[in-house]
Amino acid sequence: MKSFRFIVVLCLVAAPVWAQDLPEDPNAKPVFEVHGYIQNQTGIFVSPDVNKTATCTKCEPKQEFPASHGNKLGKLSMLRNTFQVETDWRPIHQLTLHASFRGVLSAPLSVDRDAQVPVPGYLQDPQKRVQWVHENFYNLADLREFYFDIRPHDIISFRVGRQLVSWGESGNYRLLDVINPTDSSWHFGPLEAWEDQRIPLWMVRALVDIPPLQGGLEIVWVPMIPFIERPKDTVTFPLTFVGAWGLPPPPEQGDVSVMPRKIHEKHFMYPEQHPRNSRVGVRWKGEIGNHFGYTLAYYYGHQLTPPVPEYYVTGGSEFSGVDVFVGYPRQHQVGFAIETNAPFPASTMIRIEGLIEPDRTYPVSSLTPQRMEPDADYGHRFIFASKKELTINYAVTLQQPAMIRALNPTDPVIIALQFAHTIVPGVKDLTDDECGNPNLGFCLLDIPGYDSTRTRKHKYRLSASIFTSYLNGLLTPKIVVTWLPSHDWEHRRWAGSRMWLPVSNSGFVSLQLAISPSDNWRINLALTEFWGNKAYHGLGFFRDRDEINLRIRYQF
Amino acid sequence: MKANHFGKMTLLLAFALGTGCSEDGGGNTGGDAGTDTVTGTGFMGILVDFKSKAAKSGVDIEVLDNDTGEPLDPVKFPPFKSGTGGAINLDLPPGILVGFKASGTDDSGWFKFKDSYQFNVKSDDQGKKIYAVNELTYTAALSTAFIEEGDTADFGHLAGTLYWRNAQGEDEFVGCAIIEVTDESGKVLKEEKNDIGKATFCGIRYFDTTTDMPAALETSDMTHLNNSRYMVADMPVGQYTITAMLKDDPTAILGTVTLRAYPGALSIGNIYVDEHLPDLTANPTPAGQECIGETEH
Repeated sequence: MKSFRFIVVLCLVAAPVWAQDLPEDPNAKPVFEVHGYIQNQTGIFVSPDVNKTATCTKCEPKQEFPASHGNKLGKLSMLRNTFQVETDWRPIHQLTLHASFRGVLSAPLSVDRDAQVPVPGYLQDPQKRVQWVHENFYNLADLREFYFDIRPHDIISFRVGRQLVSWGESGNYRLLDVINPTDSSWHFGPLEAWEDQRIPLWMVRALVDIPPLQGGLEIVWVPMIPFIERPKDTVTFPLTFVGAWGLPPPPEQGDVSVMPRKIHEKHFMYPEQHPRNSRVGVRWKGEIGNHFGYTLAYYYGHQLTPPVPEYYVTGGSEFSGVDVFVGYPRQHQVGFAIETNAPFPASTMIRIEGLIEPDRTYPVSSLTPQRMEPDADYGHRFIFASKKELTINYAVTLQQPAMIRALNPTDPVIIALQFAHTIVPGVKDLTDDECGNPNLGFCLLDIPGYDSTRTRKHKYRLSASIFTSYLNGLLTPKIVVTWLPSHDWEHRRWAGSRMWLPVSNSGFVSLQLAISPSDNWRINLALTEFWGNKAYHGLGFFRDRDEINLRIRYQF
Repeated sequence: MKANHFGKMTLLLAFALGTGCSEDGGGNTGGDAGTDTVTGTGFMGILVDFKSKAAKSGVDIEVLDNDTGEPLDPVKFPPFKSGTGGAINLDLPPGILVGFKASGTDDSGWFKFKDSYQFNVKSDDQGKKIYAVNELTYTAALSTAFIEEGDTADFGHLAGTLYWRNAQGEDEFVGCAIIEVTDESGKVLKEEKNDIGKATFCGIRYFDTTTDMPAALETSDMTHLNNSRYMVADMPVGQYTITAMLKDDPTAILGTVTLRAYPGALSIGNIYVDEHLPDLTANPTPAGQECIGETEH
């Protein structure tokens, strides 16, 4: 739940939208606009998957650990009511004020019993966990955006306040979109608009147009203002906090002593609201000719991946178990994007985005040795050996409008394809058994606490979507598919012969139908199917979240 | 295979010295578990890190006389290292009890182990886990158990598990039991504490079922059906007898074990109720939720 003071500010100010797209006409009349929507979104899980356990044979005595996740069939995946209003007020042509408020009321979800609550007192009581998630994530009263735009000169403008900045999105995933953290506690991220998931930050943004160079320079400064902004709102929280659309409790780890129930409390070392923690970025966006656009960007901020475990302590007589301290490392990010329209076959939009992270911090496998340091409060702290690695990401997106008369005789069919590749050159692709010997290399993880998410040197993702509109936009069917190819292949028998078969394929397909009966009403029905050979690998984490989702929105 | 090569070298050396090492591959080896290893009636074990339960190769191991704690025939069974997959394979005389000492670092050099002794191991056990406690676990355990470590030159620690071996031959934990420690004179020893309440002598601790680590008495003051490990911290070097009994009926003795405390080391010796009470037909854990031991923290 966001701070109440934001609501008060909203009530006092009542202002708002369009930002740095200020009108060129200095005689433009003052404008006051209000728009928004009321929405209900309801989903039901339809996957027949069930929870399974496996016996840990290494343990003494034998213990049961999760081996698969499920038991969600027929249960609510969400029941979320949203009210969002945005206002824009432009008293003079050089100044615009914008504010947006979002209020959310959701029902508690029984499937949140799987949430891994980071504070003590919830281990034995699933209902209490459901309530904790409901109270902390599903109800919201948030002054999301609150800023003013000022244009002192035709080529210079500033936006100051709580805002969202997107430097690029590639299909269902974010690459250059590095500035705002996200909140995807309520649904699977790629199925919702990133705009709705971004958490606004207080920042100063300056834009300078440089017409001779056919481009503009953008500077972003996130000062991390104390008192106004809560540190926890400046980072992305881990998806273990929620059950419905979060990560399931982990299975047996390489080190069998590592398990959530052993953790007494997780302490989040949020970036302190202090200028020394401020974040800064610069982007150049330009054009060459009329058909070739490019972007160069640099950002220095905090890692917006799940927090990285730094160390743990034991509680002596104060508490049983361990307290784990997790942090948000600093990192540099350098990105580029190229966008053009190819003449062949016709109006093919090509976009290439890249992001280089020279110092991304990765957590390590449970089998990686720790080291010990004195701790003033707890005697000793046990340091996890997280590791920084160069990480290179790029994605190639093709978007092709096509007249396929067999599918739609009147409107074009839009086809988009995307290939994404992540390279971590310093990582060795080790086996599980080799992870216990750091002399062979460190086993890094994509998700802390899950040895199954071992970081690979190469990771690929293929996505495709196709959509078109019928009856003048009344109906818009859409299909979205994402496939995460397997890292591992096994030579085994299939269909009567031996062949190399993937071990850990995963992905999802979403069939959607958008209905627009009038300018005010928007209805979207979606059936999404997830698959994954392995329950704790790639999108296999979500293979029990097959869902039917209905969203009804009245917009004004 | 380095480990087997070492075993062969040992065999040759023993033969050259005329120590009577048997022709069918006596001595010891840390060969690959299940392959190229000495099998049959010998001892087969796995050296594992106590915390992670992961097998560790390259750890220094000595076989000890169970009664004296001294090396068992050091010519026939010289010190060796655990093999691939933590394998320990020995042609020990059948039907006796032996001890093991594990120490040093593993093959990787990253895991350092405290001197870890384990006694009362059957010489013909197959697949027996021999535990080594790494330095981090050791330090963490002293903290979770609220123990002030004594001078490592004079003090050591004792530990073990209270087991009931069921009809299927599986070891079960035994709940609602406590232990008592006596010295060689038969005197029952009592815990001594420093001014902040940390044990400085004979700190008896029971393991937390959630963490599998020794806990302060406020958290766990007896064994549980989900974990009946115990620890006696800060014992002057010497020999002690640990006696297990039901908490609510101290006259119901469940078993005893005699253990030696070594300086700066951990000595492990388990108590088997079925050996002490052979007529008992079921796990003696009393009924009651408190004996199971799922703790909330």
